[in-house]
Amino acid sequence: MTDIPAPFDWDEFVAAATENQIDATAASRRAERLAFAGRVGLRIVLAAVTILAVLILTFILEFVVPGNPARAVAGPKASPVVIAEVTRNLHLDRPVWQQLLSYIGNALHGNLGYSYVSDQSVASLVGGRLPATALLMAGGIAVELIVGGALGIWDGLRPRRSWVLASLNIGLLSVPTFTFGFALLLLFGYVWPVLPVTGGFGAEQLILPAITLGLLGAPYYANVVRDQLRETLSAPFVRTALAKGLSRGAILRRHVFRIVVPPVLTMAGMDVALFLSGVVFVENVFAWPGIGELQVQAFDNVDRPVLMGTVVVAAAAVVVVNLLVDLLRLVVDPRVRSESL
Amino acid sequence: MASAAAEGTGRPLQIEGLSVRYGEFPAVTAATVSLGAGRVLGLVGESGSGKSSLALAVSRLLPPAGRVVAGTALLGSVDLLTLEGEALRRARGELVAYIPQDASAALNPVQRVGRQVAEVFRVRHGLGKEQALAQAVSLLAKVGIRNPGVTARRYPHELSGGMRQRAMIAIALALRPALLVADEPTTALDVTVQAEILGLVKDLQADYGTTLMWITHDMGVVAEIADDIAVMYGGRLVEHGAAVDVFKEAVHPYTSALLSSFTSGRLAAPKQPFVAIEGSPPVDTIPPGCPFHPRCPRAFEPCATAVPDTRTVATGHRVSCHLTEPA
Repeated sequence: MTDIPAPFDWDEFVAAATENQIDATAASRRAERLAFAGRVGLRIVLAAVTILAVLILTFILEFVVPGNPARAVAGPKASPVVIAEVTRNLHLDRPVWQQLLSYIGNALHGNLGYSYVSDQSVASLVGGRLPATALLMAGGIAVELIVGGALGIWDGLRPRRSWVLASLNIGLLSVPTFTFGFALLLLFGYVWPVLPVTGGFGAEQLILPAITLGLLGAPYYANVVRDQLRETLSAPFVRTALAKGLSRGAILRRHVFRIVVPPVLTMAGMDVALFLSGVVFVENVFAWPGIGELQVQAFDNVDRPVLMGTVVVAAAAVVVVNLLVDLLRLVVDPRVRSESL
Repeated sequence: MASAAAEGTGRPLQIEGLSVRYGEFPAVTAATVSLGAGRVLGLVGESGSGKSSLALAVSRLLPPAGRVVAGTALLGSVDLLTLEGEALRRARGELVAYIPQDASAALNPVQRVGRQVAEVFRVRHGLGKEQALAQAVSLLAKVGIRNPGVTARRYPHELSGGMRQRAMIAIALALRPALLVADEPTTALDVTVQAEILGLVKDLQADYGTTLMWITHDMGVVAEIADDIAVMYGGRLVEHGAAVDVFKEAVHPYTSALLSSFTSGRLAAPKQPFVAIEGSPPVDTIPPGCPFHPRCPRAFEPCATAVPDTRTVATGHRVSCHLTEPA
């Protein structure tokens, strides 16, 4: 060091401050982990409560809706004796709260009852359809993220907003799902027959419904990504990154995208809920063997346990996916950790 | 660590005819400033006087809307304003570093502070994660953070304003820059912390021998640290000279007004009236002639029409005012 007088000895101060820092760091790490585990636990409990609430509400709703399931099962010409017999067999004569309790008890053991129509267990019926629906939703979200993300990044990095994205957004947002689905079928199934139109579960059959689900949602993602990107690029901490001598690519990778990703994640989580209602339509248009198709069949047949099962499983899926998104945000964005919940 | 101090020593800065525009608005007009190696310049002016634009231009951090339309800024033999690409990236942090006014916005909210300091070493020296973090922790200690290891693991929102500003100072000084530009770094802090940060930067500047440009509107801060003073008004440099000379014999009416409002404020005896400058500084349009003439108590005919030439009134003391015109 030069002979410039300092108010106190820096080197000594630095040495003293650096000492024991290893222990302190480990302690702070342990405290952080504990707080993190607490938050995760709380969110899991809340998710379980939500699923239970959905289950009770759906059950009560089914009793409010008029119509006797025993008559649906026995057929329109069945005698009152047969109907009474069926009613007893299905335990429909017991008080609602008893039926609810036994339904919850069974549900906790993975038993969602049996179909009135086919006598198959609802759990296996829905479970058999679940992978197809999950795959379709994953495909739809992938299309949204890729198309929306790419458009948003392209527009966000331009010096000026582009009319191309604006008109594309308006165009896509004004097309209804069913029109778009049929248009795609017509175009790629008949006019230019490159993809199968007969339905079923497979990679080729997945393409059109996934595009139908995803492309119409892509404008929302493009807008959010573009706005987030623009806002973040003008933030002072990006100037700090520039002042450190980082290249443009490094600034985007290390500083900008981490700010842009969390809101996109939240949107994708909400889209799972949106898609679970959207798939009912898309699955039927494309004859995709998922939960949506099953639900429509169950509705037609007044097959109460199956209908109930699809709703409960769909609700559980929404809650679980949003729980996962919450946890992911907790990892990606430290500011979420200091929020109260 | 201290043994390398000599390498990072400051270089002289010579800004010549620098003009910055935001669209058509002239934020800085023909500013000329000179500053010796290792000296401290206090750049003074009200809000909107163009001092921050000057600082950002020299630091090469002007936002896209602002551009340098004329001038040079020689740091030693390098013109900071013509650097491009790889050369500019290498100059950042090594030749010129910048400390912003608002440290809480200048730190990335989703990264730990230690990582943000360490990033300089990772990117610029190619160090590994562990090594860079170790360097960052000792640098945090050097800027007066008492438990640097724990602080390094904190996120910006978990730190106090003073701590965040210390982290920013660590980032700015990491590569021992030849020139440090501090843009009102104490404005957002409370008074006791202001004094601490001021003392810290002054000590580190002396230790490293860095040339320092401190932007402020606070004459008290200038009196505390500056060797030289430059006063800006309406985008123009109105008075520039050694701090002692300017404080003793301010020539420009604006400088005198600034000093009297300072002495009547901070240094006043109890119950003494506070002296303010009449009117307000130009915001949307700069008045023609001398920008200060609408508020100047001593304005006369030429002030409203002609921009005064800059004259040397004493050794190293330059003033831009019609009053200095030879009779």
